Amino acid sequence: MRLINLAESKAEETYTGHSYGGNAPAADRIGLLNDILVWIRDNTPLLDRVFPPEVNGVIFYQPKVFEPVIALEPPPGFPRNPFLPQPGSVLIPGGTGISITGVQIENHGWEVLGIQSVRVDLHPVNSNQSYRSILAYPFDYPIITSSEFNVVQPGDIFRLNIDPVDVPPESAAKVTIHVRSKSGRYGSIVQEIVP
Amino acid sequence: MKRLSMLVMLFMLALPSACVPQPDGEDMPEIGIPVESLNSQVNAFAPKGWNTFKVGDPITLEIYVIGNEEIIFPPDFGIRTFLYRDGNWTEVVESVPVAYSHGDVILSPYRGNLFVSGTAVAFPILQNANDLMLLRIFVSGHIYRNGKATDEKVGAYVDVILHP
Repeated sequence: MRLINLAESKAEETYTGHSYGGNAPAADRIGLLNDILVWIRDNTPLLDRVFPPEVNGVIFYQPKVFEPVIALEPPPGFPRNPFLPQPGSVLIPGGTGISITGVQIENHGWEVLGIQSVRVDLHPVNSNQSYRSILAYPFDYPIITSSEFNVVQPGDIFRLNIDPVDVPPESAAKVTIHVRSKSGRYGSIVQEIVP
Repeated sequence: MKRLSMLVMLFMLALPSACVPQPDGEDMPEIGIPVESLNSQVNAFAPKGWNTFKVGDPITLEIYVIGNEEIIFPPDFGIRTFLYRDGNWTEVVESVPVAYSHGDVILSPYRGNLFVSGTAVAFPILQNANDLMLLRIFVSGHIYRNGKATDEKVGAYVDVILHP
């Protein structure tokens, strides 16, 4: 699915958005529709259920030009990998791809939300098989302690910059934002981006 | 008629678990942590709102510390995935590489605050994508005391069933 540029860009940044549920395409939804009560092992009840359409997710990205990657001769003493192209031939074609720079969550509900993770799965345009996955958030610091720095209050719009994730030409990115409410409702916002 | 459709529905609900081989209760892969210690300090949980539970999709876990001490985890939470097949647990060694933009993670006891948690990802590459599959996914770390990681290894596991 190619995303549509919904609105004016800030600088050269493009953003795209769908609500989770509501008018989002069915393919963007994951999880079950039922409310399911589960118990973690210390018997704390968690309501593990998908969010109603009260959260909007937006992905920010910028165009980026990629140089082609040329196959090199193996280092002396190492045999040539027969599955790789001949040295000197193009391994990864150059061209224009994108760099994903951030996400935004708009909390239209009544509960405090936490952005628990942002994951980018890269796959070839002509295949659904991911070849690389990047957990882009939480992202800073050599060591983190989880706390409430990632919460979005009801009515708030929360922009989260991530370490840029490159999506080269001929690849697509599936961006998944995992959110959870204070009472234990879980949801995912999934966007497919094709440069 | 109503009774028949109810029976069919019950049968459909029971079908997935009936088709997945059930391991013996004491059958456990060896990961270097005593079985009785697993899930005592840490808890792993695979929320339905975060996962499709389809073969080929990643599995995202939420990790809580349910003990009283901080725990330090490697960036990938020491995640290991085992597949139950032919009466044995076999480690799934092929997986989509997952890159982490953060370093080690120190998790505090969650003490009822659900936002104090970590996120781990398993992305196994599984053959025979047409079968139901039972996976046991482990995470592990070390007790973090006085600003240092100790030798006390702790961990948790969660079982998930993947559908074709």
